[in-house]
Amino acid sequence: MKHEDIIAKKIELLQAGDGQNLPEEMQQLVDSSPELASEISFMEALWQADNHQPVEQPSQQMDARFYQMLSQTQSELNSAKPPLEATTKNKPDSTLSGWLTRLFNPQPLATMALLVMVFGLGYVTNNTSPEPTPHVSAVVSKLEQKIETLNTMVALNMLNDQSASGRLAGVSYSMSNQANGKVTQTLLQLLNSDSSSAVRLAIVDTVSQRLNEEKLQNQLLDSITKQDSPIVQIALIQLLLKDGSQTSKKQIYALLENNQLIDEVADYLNVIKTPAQEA
Amino acid sequence: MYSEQDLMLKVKEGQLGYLANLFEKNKQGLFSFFVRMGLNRALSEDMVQETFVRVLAYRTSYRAESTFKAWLYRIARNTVSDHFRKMGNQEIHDPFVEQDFKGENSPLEILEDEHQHSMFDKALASLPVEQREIIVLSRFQQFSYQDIAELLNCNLNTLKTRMRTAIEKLHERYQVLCGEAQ
Repeated sequence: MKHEDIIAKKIELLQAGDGQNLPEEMQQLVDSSPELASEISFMEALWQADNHQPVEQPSQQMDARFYQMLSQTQSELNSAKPPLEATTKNKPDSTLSGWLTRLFNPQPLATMALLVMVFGLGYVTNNTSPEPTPHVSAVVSKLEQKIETLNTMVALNMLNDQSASGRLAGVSYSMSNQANGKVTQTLLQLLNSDSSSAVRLAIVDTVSQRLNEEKLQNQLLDSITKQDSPIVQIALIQLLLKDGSQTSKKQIYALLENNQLIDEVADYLNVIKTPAQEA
Repeated sequence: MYSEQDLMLKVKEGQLGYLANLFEKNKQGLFSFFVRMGLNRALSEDMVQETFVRVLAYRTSYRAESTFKAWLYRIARNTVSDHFRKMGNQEIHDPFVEQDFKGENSPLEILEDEHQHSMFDKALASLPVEQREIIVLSRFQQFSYQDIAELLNCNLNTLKTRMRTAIEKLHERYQVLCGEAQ
């Protein structure tokens, strides 16, 4: 029997970690060779040396970068193979009405109007005395309201864009408009229905800033079971487990218990859950 | 419950979402592998990312002939080899330098453990990459001989010989370091 075989057997036993000894025939060979005995005892020390060492953990940024890369790849693949319906929709309309629609596309028009309003507001506020008259205050207030309405209009317009990249831009634009109920509701509707998981992931990220609202947490919880993408389910679960209330966390584990999660997500949750979290 | 092979086959078919499960199952192991191979934390995280980028890029070449783990680590090895080649082996890192000990041992035991660890790690870091790799895969990644042989594309007898040589060399380096320390 070769020394290599004895070392291989020893490694197998050390990996099993059940404290078994070498077979008698091998042990006799070890006892008769001081050189081999020394190697074997060195291996035992090496294999047992790590018991008190804490395992070094990778950072959460690594996870974030991976999920970003995955979402980007998915979105690139989706846009590389557009569904037939979308391709037809995106074809330029050569009719007069199509030409007029493109000319008066509401999104650029709204953006231009918004810019004019902002300049107007700036002009009015910079050309008033330190104590504005009631008339000027009323004008400013009216302009502010108009700007808010236009902001909402632009956000809603972008969220209804035909292309996923347009809707992604809309989600990003909506970040500053979440106080508006219409925008938030549109975001939550898209979270449950958008065909692009990249858009849905971006929405999860955007609404995460308002997670202190109980109603929103409930809507996000409801959305978990409506997702067909494991990544979006995981993103929602990660968000609620990290910053959600105890009730939300319990409800997530209830979904797991009731087999309402995608299999892979359930596996993921089983891997990350700790007894404390589950309780 | 899907096996890792099943999940990878689904990724190959275009259901990329399943890659998230493979990532969650393997990120810690891969990260430790890179750290043990001598890379610092930041670089090890980059290597994990790069490995999964390559998994996505090469997904259509996955044949499920070997275990997913063997395939994944083959990609990881190539990733780290490319890095070492590019850097000319200059970025050797002692994986335990930045760590604090947390345990219930007495201060003396901790000091002794710390000393032994330091010696093991220095000895390991001083080995040629090929020898360090098979020890890391066996000792720290818990790969069987069969898995390692598959990964290195060699037969079991060759691996046994290589492993013995690597352990002899590590033992030799360890003894030299302990002698120097005394």
